Amino acid sequence: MMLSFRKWVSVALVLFFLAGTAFTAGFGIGRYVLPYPETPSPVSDESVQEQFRIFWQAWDLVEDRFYTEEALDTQEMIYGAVRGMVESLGDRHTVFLTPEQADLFREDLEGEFGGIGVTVAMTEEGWLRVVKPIPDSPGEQAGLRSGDIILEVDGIWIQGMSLVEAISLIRGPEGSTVAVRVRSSDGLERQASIVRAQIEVPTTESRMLEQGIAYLAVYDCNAQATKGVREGLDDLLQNSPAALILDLRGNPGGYLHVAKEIANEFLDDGRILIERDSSGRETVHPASRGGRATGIPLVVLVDAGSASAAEIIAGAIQDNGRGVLVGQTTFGKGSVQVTERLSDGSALQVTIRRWYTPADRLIEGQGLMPDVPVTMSEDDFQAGRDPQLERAIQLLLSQMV
Amino acid sequence: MLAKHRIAYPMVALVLVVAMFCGGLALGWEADRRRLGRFSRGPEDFGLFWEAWDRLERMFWSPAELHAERMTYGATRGMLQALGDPYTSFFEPAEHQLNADRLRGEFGGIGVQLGGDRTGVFVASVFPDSPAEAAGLLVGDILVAVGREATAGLAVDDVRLLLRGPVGSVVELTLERHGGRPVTVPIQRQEIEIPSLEWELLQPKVGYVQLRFFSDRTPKEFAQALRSLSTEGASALILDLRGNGGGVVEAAVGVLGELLGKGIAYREVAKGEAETRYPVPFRTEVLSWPLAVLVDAGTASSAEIVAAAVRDNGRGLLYGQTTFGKGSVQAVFPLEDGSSVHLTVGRWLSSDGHAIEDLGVVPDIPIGIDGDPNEDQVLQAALSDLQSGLVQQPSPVTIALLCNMKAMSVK
Repeated sequence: MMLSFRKWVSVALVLFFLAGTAFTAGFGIGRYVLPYPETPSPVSDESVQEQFRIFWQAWDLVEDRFYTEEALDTQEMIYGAVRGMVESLGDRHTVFLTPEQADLFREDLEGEFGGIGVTVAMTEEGWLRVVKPIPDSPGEQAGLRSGDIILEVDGIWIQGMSLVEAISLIRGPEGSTVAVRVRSSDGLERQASIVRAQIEVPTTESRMLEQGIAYLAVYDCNAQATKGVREGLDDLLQNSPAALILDLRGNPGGYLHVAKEIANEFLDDGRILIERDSSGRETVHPASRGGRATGIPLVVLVDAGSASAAEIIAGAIQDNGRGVLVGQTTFGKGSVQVTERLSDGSALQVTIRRWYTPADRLIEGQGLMPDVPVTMSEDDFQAGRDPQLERAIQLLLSQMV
Repeated sequence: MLAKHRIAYPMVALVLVVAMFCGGLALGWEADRRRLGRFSRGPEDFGLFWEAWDRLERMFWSPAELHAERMTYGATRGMLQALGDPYTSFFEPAEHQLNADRLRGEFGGIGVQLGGDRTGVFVASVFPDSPAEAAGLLVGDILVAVGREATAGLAVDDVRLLLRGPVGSVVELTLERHGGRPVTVPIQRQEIEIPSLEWELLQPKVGYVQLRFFSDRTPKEFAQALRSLSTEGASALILDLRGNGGGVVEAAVGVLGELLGKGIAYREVAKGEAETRYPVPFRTEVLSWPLAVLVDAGTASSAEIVAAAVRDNGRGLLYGQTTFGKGSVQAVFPLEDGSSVHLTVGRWLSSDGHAIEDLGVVPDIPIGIDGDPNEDQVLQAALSDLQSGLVQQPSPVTIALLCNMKAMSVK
């Protein structure tokens, strides 16, 4: 009996020791060696996390108390959080794109999409303005005109949306119908139903005008633009033109490298632009030799729809004294965005740099002033007149004499 | 028997060791999760958010450091917006404070209305008998600083808050008048009330109360207004709830206490809960005057509770247009840094259980808003009906009769 009791105690002690060791080892390994399988936040700054506590308080409130007939869509809540966080930066060019929007945005830059065939820009008040309907597009056939303001798309109020969001509403499967509410420049509002179609975007257009003046329009600085410009110039130069008009009106921009390539066709030396990042680091982009049209007298047409990459081209030509800008003050988007894909296919379009003209002028929020200001009124548009082009021709003719 | 035991001991030991190891591992993980939990919690795929945050920190072009507070507020606002409920929203600390003051109906201040434009924040109006008036503040004075804080670059709401503080404390204002040299004026804060209603005797016997919103002070103000009207000889009441967007629900219930004295004020359904009935405060003495309630499309929320309870209990007649139809209940949840979340936490139903959301409260006597905009047709209709005595005992018969009379008079 005695012996068995001692044996018992010793067995118990050994077991206790073993169990304790096993537990400690397990705890240690669990706590310090094997990391807990959860996505840790890359933002490890404790002050940020302290600050962020209120977000989780709000999140918990929603999970516990929010009254809704449907199930909570946490995916939407996360997207909402990212969107709100991005908006708080107060930069209208820095935006969050859901996976669908990100795909759409990429298609856009590649130059082929299904839509209604009008180019649009965002107004100061946050509406969409029709910059230019593409000839024979569904939008033009439905009566959309330059300067029309799009207020609603399928009953959804546009104001307050980003340009990309608004465009993603207008787009849809080919053959489907979209209803837009439009206010024309005479103040009248109307509803238009437009059948979406596959839109072939003409990127460039070139032709010879009278009296030996060549005309080259660049509607977009997308991936096809450089090729279009080079081929257009080759065609035009065969006619040995005395002068050239480069039309950048309504060109909303596109890729930076495309802008540089196009500017290079007109410049032999000098700078194209200066870029600065947030730490003040500077990159100067010089022009290189080998352009096709570096000597011919040049006038560039610009208006409030000329933005971003189009402003780079116009600014480079203006500051290098290569040509004269005719038209209206440009849009004023002098910042560079990159599109960063995130892990789930959504994307961030982030302003990473600002750009300045070769003479170090700030473009963001200011735009380029034309050397020869010429406006184009709604009457001119309705009557099919183009006073800006006429003035450009007149200028070039007077120079040639 | 013995042999069995010999095998069992090491087995037991092994099981125990393995169990303890696994237990330790689980607890260790849990400890690690809790440690991480302070940094990354929420659903698994929330990593996307930090991914975006991180990219912005590294790449975004900004002349200054990114502002973690502003980004957090933005994230919270965006997350709540994504719920798609127009009444669920986020209020930053300043907005929350102003809103709370309004709902409380009073605060310590100096008695000015501020405005803001490109020139800065200026005095838009000075309340009569306020500390601001006593200190000689004039409309148009530009606020350069409050205390030591310069107002340049501040939002009007933020300046408004700087002016507020404990009753009896002193705030120093630096003002600029007509481009002259800035002067500094000390002003002692007083209790500033935000009256939620106005009342007057419209006709010898008809009292009129315009309730603009419901604050904590509303029931007291309403009782006072009724007492004063009574002394002035009123024996009928027009309660104008047009344009009243709501406010504190308890205040609406308090007003119903004066008018009904018993019964159900409204019912509420919250997430995962059965219907709750909120009673009207019991009163032995209840206002017995004939009652006309004026409503329109701007009558919402708490104001609809009052209108619906009056109708459901046959206490009076509703004149005007169908109300807004806001049948959701919001609660204000303050967060730890002074910001707050307004969250939709339920649906409310009228006293008799009618749904209000999207439907609104339909008036007994519908009166359109067409016609002479200078003439308040709704008020005129209520006034003449009260004088005719037909509102005394609302019943389907009297309502039909009144509606017919209106139709005839229109013809």
